[in-house]
Amino acid sequence: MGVFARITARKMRVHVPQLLGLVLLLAVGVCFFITLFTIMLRYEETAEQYMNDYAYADVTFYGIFDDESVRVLSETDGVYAARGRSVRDFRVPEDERIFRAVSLMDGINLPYFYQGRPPENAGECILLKRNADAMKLGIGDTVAFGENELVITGLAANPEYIYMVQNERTMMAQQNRFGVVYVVPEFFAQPGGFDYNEIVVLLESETDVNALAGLIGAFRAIMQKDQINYEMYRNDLSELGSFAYIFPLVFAVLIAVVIYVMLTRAVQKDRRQIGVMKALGAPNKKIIAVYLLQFCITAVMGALLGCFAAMAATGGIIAILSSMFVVPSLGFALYPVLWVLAVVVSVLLCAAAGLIALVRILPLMPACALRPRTPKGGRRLLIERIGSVWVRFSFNTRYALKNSLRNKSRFLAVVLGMTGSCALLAFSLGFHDSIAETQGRFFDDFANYDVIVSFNPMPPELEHAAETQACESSRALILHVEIGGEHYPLAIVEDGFDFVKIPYTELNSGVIIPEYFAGIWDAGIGDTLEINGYEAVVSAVVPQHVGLTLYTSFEYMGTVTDEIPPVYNTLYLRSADMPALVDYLNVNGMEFTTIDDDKTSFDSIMESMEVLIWFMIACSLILGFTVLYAVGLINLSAREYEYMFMGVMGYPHKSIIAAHIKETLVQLALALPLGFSGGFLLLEAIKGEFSNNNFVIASIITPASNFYAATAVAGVTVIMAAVTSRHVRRLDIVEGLKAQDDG
Amino acid sequence: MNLFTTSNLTKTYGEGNAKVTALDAINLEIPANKFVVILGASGSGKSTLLNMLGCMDTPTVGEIAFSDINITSFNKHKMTHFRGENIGFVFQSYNLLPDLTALENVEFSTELAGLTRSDALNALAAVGLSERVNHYPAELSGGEQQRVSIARAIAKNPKVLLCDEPTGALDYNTGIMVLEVLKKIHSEGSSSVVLITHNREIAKIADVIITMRSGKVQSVSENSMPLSPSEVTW
Repeated sequence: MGVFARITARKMRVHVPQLLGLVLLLAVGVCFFITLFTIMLRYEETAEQYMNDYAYADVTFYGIFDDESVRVLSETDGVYAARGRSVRDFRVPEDERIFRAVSLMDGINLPYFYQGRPPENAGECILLKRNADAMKLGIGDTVAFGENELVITGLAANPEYIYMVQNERTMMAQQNRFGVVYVVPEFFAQPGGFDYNEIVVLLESETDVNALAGLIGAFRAIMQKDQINYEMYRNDLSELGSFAYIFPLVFAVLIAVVIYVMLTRAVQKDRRQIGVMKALGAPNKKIIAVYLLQFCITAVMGALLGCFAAMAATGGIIAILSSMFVVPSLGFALYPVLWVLAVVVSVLLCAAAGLIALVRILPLMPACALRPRTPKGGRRLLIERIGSVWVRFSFNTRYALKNSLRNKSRFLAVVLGMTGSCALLAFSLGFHDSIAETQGRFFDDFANYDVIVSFNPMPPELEHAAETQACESSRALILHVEIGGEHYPLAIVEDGFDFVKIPYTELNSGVIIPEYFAGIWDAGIGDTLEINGYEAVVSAVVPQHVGLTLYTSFEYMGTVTDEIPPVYNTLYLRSADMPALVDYLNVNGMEFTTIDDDKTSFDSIMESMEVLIWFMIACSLILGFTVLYAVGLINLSAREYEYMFMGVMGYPHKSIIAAHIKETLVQLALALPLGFSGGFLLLEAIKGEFSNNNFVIASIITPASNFYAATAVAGVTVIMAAVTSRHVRRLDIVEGLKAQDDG
Repeated sequence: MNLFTTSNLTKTYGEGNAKVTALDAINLEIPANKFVVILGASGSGKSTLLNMLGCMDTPTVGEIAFSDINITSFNKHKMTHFRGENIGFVFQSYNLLPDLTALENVEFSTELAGLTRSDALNALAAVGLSERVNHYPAELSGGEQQRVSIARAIAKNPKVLLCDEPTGALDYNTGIMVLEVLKKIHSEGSSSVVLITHNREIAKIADVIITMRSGKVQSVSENSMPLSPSEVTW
């Protein structure tokens, strides 16, 4: 081993505590990145394969169909296969559970069997395994709903239920409250043959789906990409991707700062040694190598440790995420490219930060480097200029304040470390707050209904049976209209509609749109939207966070087009006796959701997010502790001689620590507000990733969350103060002063 | 043949009222193969001059020729190369690298010069430290550290040894021992020695004595009867 390699190795031995801190920091960042990125890549690969292998339908048509409709579609150009099926929700009055019965088909939306066999008669069914687990049911058990008692013959998954989507508002139903059973078509048999309410289709080529819908008189057609199940899948991929970057990015910045401060300190401490090396004829590149190699080796170790930690974490995180989505055979896979990327980026990051620190000292001539550094000229602080205030401070306070700004880069590094930790913690806790806030804004400030009943379109002269059972009701026609090539729900409501809190008076003068859509379309009040080819004016923009829908009135739509049929397909209901209403709707086999169902779905979202949130909080704490500890150690080593000298001069230990604490308080006072703002900015930055056409997150960080974040950061600084106190108490004055002379 | 020739060599530090002239238009010829002592009080500019001669610093004005090569025209890279190839430094405070053993400190020099470990061991033997090769600087006495420093300087067979107050941090006996080592190296080898000191007694061992004061050369004198180190006292 060459002499330069030996110098490197020995310097690493001296810097072990700091380098270990760096290794931990890098490992956490890399582990976070590799874990989430691996899950994202693996999820995409496995889910695409799953949807392909189990023939996830390209398009689903809704309406009333018979075998003839299926035959017509099957024989149409561009259609590979079409199957009719019946889907119906059954509510179990005793425990408020809902079972969705879906007729099994061959060739499309095939079940993936974990166990068991397909049902052979109308008394058997397959249950989704996630429901079976949540409801503690197994093969041979019975599922009872309505007048049906079905024996479970198999436990399966299905690509159309990667997420437990009950409807547009209940996007993540609780698995013990909403179950899906697959039954034989005979389960829905009626006298005179089969009627289907859905036709699912696999397409051969790009086909005009609206034309196909017209061909069979379908009321609505939804392409796979527009299905909530699929949208949520794509959104989760994108969210995982964003999270995979956000944390490691913040880590990277802080790591760079820590390395910069560490190396600046190390290089300044070794200034004379560098001068000697230069004097002896060592070229700069060899000197650079001595210092950079330490950090590059540390980077490789940290990155590899992070990669191995990710191997262990990925499986666990996937298991936890399976409460959100289920894709059979989704598990850990090694992506060497990711590992290489993590190592290379870590090395580059460390090398770049180190180089920046080194370029300040390397250009010095050896004679200059061999001389002690010229002390910096003192500068008056702003507060010093206010003489009447400054003189009131004790010497200790004045010393602490002066110290704070004496070394700007070190000061900034500490402030940045505190800010970053506080920001990440505030962001993680704020993420939880934001989901709760979104829930509150929808259920408390927007929704004003008890039940929504959906059915096939009815003419206005016919009264729906449910209308008679509720205290208040309002009819609506919910259509999926095309705007800018995408489909969006439009609710055409009656006069006096007040089941969601929107400016009702604006219903007759145009279309009321959610803020999120207004942002996407860059539309405001008075602007014109092209809806299904006709022009409509935006009459109001409202904050809406769940089940985003456009609202207008039948009267206004009549002025825009005469193509809207005078029918209704949805009832909004309010009732003083909800159990009776739900009972009635159940008994009569109606498709409906209550506000409680929607709230339960939200609780599910919250539950699944908790895992991610705790993961983020844990990472933030590790990061915060490591950064503050590393920077604190550097700060301490920089002050060591000064503290020692103060001790020699007889300055009491508690006064030295008091000055140190005051300095830390100055840093905290600056860092915490910055951290709160940083957390909010991070939240705003990822808001887009968590928003889609059904759900828009409301970014908010509550004072309590900011308080917890601040407390955690302050807690770490208290620990550091204790470490400092212990260290200062143990300083060997004689040895220290000798070392300083030698250095 | 001169080893160094300086013309109008000037070095100033600072600006305006804080301007300090460390070397003031020095024109000097330092002969080759001699034991030269630059004598002067603290602040006379002798260390600054030594730094200029060793390409450790650059002059503000003026030139230095090393065996007819103008070394003041060198860029930093060339200066580094020049130092590595031609100059051996011995510092007052030894300046050994604390993370390396005695042998490794010498190897630092031989490795840069493309020499082998045995060259480093020979240099340590020449200064009488064969038994202490694996000791770290912190485990060596001041005299031993200075001898390691001399071994490091001579191991690469430099054309000149530049010694900056090599006995300044040592007691009398150890100082004499170090001077004897330097004298021995000079008499046995092909290296010129330029040693700076504020001690008039030490100057008596030199072949040539250059006296400096306030950044100027006051005198250059040849010593026809140099003493051996053991003959001087202070």
